[in-house]
Amino acid sequence: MNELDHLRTLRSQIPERTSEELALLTGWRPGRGEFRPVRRPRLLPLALSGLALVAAAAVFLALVVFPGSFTVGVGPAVDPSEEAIEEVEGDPMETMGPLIEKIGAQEQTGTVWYTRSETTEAIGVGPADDPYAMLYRITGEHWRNTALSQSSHRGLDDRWEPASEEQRAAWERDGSPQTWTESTNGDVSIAQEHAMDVPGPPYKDWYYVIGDTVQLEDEDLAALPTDPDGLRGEFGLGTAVRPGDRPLQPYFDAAALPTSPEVRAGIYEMIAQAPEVAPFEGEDVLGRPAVGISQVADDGAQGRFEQRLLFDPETAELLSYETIVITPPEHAQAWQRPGEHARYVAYEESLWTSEGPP
Amino acid sequence: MSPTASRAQAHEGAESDASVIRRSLHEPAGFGEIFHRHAPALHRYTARRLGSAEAEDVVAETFHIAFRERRRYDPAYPDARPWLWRIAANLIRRHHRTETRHYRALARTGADPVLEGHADRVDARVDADAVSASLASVLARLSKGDRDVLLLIAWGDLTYEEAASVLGIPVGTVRSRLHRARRILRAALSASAVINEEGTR
Repeated sequence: MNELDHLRTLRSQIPERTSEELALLTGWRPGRGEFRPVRRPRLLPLALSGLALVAAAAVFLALVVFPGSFTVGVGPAVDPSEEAIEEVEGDPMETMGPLIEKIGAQEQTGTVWYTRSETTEAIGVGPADDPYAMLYRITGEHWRNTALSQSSHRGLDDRWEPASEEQRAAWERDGSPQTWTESTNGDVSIAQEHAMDVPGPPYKDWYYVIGDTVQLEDEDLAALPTDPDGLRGEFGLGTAVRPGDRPLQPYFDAAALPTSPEVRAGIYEMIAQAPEVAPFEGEDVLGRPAVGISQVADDGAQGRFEQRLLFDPETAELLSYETIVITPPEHAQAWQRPGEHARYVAYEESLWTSEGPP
Repeated sequence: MSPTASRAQAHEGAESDASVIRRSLHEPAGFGEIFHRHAPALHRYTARRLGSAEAEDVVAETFHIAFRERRRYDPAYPDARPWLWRIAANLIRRHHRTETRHYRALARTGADPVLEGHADRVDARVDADAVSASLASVLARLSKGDRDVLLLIAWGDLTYEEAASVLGIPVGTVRSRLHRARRILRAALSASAVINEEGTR
């Protein structure tokens, strides 16, 4: 036996249910309202005698062929708002601990913080009866001269891509357009101008934003403490989960700051202590090996999302900040799918250098 | 007989999934045929990964989503299996931590949590041997991507192309992830065999 055969032995321990049994167990029938997970008493398995199976088949026919003509007492449906929040498993220090050590041991070579990154947002477009999600992706370079408090930016590329293979099919049905006059929520002129291919002139009107409220300048970065408690105070972060669909936003903003290695180590430790986050180990949106933290955000009508803040396990550098759809918000249910990215920022390169833009 | 061949034979001469789905646009109850064809295999795969309770919810939500989205189904694909399994794969990923917990429990205690919902078995808790414990230990540590590929192939009986379609990744990535996962499994099973030969756990 090879390893796949051994795995199949594990599967053989699970009996295969008939569709009639599953219809009874799941309560599914075509067109039945909104899905709600049901916690039902475990009665059926004890009743799987021959007669019970015949009865189950009759129930399946009634549920599927004659919907509404038969009511199965499977117990009360659970209001999603009352569902227990999934337990957070694992200690985030498992993934962040090694990163804290590595980032704190780095050398800061230069006063210019250079990044090349890709920023992507999913936008609903297409005909009203067959909308679909397209990812609008912008790639650019940024230089921050922390000694002169100057920034420069150069756009490299912008492009549209279907958010998934399923979305690609809808896009192709729409004739594979490259521009749209408006999105599904009525935004006009979403066709973007192509990015400039030369760095713009340096500009000084710049400050760093943490979350929605905290603004920092280079002098503030130079004075940041290195301990997690002090950093939380500076960034206005408490011990409760941040409301809304972007609970990890301030932690990403902090991780992206051009700070000294000692302060970055403190920021990483602060990230590991963020409320109700779980360790993550896998790949980032670009398929690179990644470790970090994740958190599920439930924003009511704005949907349910998983957010991830991911780092390179070898270099400890920030890789990505991702928002993945679990349940689309009401306004996007026609075109957004579970598992797709709603938005992300992916860093292709980030480093200290003594060189400015070309 | 390969899974694909057996599935093709099962539906030989029968109306294709695409045709059933198209007909269900005007006769909604007809979508029950899709449930009849695909729910059992999908449930068994999901139940092995998550346990019965979560599997029933995943299956129900999969077909709820599929029914709601059936108008968008591309009729160029006669077999709806990759489409349905893609929906389910995304839902299963939400339970990644629960699944990992199951494997860790099996590896650590020898009790298989996903079997405890099957009260019709005389031995609802099957004592795990060293092989099962080794498998579970590896499954707990695999990344989501590697785990999904491995189990879609091993427990879902999908082909490489079907797994690639379900996960939205190239076939080459399926092969590399499967190769990596199988290598880790082989190493764990070899170590388990060495431990057994020495008479220690």
